Amino acid sequence: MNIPLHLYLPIAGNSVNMLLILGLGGAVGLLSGIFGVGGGFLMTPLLIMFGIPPTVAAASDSNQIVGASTSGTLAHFRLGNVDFKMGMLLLAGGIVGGTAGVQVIKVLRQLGNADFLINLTYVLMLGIIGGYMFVESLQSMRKPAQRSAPAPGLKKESLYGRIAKILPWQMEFERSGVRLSLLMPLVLGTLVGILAAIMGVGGGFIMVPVMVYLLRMPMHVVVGTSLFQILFTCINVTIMQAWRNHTVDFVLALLLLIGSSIGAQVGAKLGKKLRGDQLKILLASLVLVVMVKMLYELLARPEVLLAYVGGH
Amino acid sequence: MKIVYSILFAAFCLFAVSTAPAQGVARMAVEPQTISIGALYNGTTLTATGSVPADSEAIVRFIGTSCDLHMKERGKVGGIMWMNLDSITFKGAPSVCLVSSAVDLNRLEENGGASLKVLRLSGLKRSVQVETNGGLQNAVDEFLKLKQNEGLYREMFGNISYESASEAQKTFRAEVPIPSRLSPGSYMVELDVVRNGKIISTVERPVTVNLVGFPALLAGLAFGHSALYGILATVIALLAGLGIGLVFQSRGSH
Repeated sequence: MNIPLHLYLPIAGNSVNMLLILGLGGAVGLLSGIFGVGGGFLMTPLLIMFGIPPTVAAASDSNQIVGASTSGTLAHFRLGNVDFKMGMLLLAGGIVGGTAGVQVIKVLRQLGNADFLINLTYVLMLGIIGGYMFVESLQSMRKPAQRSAPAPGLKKESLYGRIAKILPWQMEFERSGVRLSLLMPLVLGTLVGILAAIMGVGGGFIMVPVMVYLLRMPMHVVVGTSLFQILFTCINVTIMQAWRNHTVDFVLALLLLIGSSIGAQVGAKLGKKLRGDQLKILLASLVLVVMVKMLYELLARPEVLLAYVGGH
Repeated sequence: MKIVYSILFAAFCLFAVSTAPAQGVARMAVEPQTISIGALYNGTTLTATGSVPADSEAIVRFIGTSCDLHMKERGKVGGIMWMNLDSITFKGAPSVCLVSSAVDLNRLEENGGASLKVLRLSGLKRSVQVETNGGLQNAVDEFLKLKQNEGLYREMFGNISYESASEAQKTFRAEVPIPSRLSPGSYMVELDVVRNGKIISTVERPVTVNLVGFPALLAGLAFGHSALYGILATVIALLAGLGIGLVFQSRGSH
């Protein structure tokens, strides 16, 4: 069936089917609302597939994530799932890390083979995070009884746990129900910021596992807090990309945003109905699927042996 | 010396006489002469009409201005992974090249029309220059493949029809599908008249492509006031997200 609703995108220099873009936004927004990821690692390749230049796809996606994460953050805030204190500390670290990451990528580009390292980082990060989350969630789903009734005092604390406890500036994060050193979210936020800048993504899919496994926050608070942090990261990226590179197509972003904001609302409600381990295993599967796709692209001979400058 | 001048003058007159009819035998009009890209633009059809000698073939080309394109070569790293490697620049490649003919160009070329290669996409191999430090073999072939995948380079046959013939002339009508992936700028519609495998006449008509309405407004803002455009895009996205969030909130509360 041929749907005649086409709209010309002046910055992308191409016309798109409005319903297709709305649907695409809705599907990715749904995942964003459920898992607290921005969805950039899914949306950008899909837009490129539909004929949008890579640089415009990535920048316009950041613009739509601003809207989608606002909608998602609001939905999670209403449900009491946003830890603002933790979010602000992670954000501060993320800004420092992002700035450092941009410098790292500049050095890598001067050394050559930067794209190789970027792609390798992508596959390794996705593989490690997705694999670990998948196995861990599977184990916790198989042993619900043991998980729900742990023997108090018998569980030996890990080295990481002991180090976390002796760090200075311990503070209470009421919303997450954890007590941690101020340094932990700052340092971890910086590390994620560096990786996100190198990989050219918002970093949601790295931040979520960091919050779950290293900051030990409950999964539902993780999702809301992650969206809150992504909102600020993408505001910065949108303004910078529009100002410096003229790559933000607002019409495309608005279409995606309408779809994704609605999708994010539905996703937030759907996510609330799922258990934490169910959420984790679904996100792990998604991350692993993307990893397999990227690995295939790295190993299979491309149809054309040329690429536009700017896309990964 | 006078004899030499006389021979040269006679040769010039002969050349002028032999080519003069060919220059006058073809004519072409193009509609529309300006393609306006509005908010709902999704490609259009450009019509070229005119006449050519009855014993000739018309080939119509829609050509964009030439520009330098900076790209990356893709190659294997460590014998395993395909990566973007060295930079490569294509110089003198038209942004668009759509070749239309009434008959299959392969057939025309086989029937003694080797010189027609210059009109075809493969003819760009001669005119496009490549600057690279890498070792990509057949770089222009790869470039042509990329452009064809994007729908910007295309050879079509059967979209030119001959409508009537009189006084050794026949009229033609070419329907050229213009892609939706089109940038504003100057383009050229070129009619090449081919007889016995040789180009005997060429007629060119300019076509302008420009943005109108909302796309023009948006492009003006994005390129002319980019910081303001970025801030506006962010604020509107924030408000839209908040608005949708509030709509869902009010629905949820009832």
